[in-house]
Amino acid sequence: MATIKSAIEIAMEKSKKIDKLNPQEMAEIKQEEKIAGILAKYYKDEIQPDDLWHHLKGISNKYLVKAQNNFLQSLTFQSNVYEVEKRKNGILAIENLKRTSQSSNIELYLEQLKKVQDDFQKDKEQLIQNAKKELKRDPQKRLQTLQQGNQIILKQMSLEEALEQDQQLKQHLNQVEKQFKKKYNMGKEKLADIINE
Amino acid sequence: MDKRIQYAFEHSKILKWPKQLLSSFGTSEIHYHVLTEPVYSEFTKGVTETVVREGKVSWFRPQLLTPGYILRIEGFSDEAKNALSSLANEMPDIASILYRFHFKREVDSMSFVSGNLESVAEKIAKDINKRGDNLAAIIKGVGDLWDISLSKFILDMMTRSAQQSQFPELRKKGLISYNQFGQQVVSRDTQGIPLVAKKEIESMFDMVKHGDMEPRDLKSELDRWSLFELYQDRFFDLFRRR
Repeated sequence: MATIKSAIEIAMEKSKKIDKLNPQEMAEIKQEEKIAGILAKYYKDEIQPDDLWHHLKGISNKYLVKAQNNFLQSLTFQSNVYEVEKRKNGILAIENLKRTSQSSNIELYLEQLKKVQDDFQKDKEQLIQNAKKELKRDPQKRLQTLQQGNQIILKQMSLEEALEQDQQLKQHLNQVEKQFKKKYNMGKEKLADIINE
Repeated sequence: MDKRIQYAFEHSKILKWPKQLLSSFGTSEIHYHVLTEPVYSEFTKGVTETVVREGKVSWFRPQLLTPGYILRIEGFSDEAKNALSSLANEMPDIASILYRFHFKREVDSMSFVSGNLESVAEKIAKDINKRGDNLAAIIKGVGDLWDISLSKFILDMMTRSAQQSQFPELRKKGLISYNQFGQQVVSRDTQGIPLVAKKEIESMFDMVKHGDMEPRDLKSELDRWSLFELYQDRFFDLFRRR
């Protein structure tokens, strides 16, 4: 996903070349600062999606898109249900302010992102259950060894301990997480395309 | 782990397990046969040979111990002691079995037998069965790293025996039990003394009394279990009687 430069970043780059900013650039910085303040309040639960709608009403499309991208970029594969819901409501509240609203389309993609997370959790749980079954089937895999020369100490790990130390399981979980993360990021890119349209 | 060693470890295979497991209450000796393809095999077209190395690995009697006891044994590195120290603090009752084994790096015999590895293994297996040798093993090794293959066998033999013989027998004798987390822990009497320690110490007192053991060995054992204070009167009594 391409990162969108903020007015401040552009202004900072410009200020290296010329001494002064023109009035339009100054106005853009102010506008972005204002929006950042509103979003910060929203992130801190100080305002609700409806308030967000009221605060951002009348702001040009360009800044609305930037605000939506801010929400989208803060969504990660590790985001919990609450964080996802918060960003989803934020994106949709702003979408209603845009000239052409694609709310249903955006909602669909946001649901898909949530589904990718849910599917990952299901697959993860399945892998853990399979590993548990295997450890129960072959208790020898639960033995931990500590070797020093010709002395070896053996102790049997509990099922939970054995699961924690199961390298094969760790490897499988990493692989599955990688695949789902890729899917998630692809979904985010598609969503960004819709928002930026 | 060195890649070659890891490869040898992963590609070694136990072709015939000994019929018997390691003894829980005595010593064990296993006659091993490590079979490898000769390193020169790629230069000898049409002639198939297998290298057979034979020798013996012996084990002392396995000991049921607590992490605290193991910490007081000589011969463990600082790294191992650190691991044991945290285990001793967090789970002082966790049941561990200490195996001590011995084998010579030099094999008792090395021979070159004609035939591929599988057919030679089959012949040796037949011979073992015919002799009725319940403590013999055949291992498929990897070239010049045959001793790594043997190490794998030694380790596998211990885990197999621990799981199938030592732990179940210790549970049956009431010396260990499961705690609420599903971990095997040593059982203790009403005074908090591990039953296995009590059993061991009683037998050592008896041996010292009959002159079969030096008192200092008994003293070391009492110290390892941190039980000298509790047994000191009986210990000093041994000298009064002498």
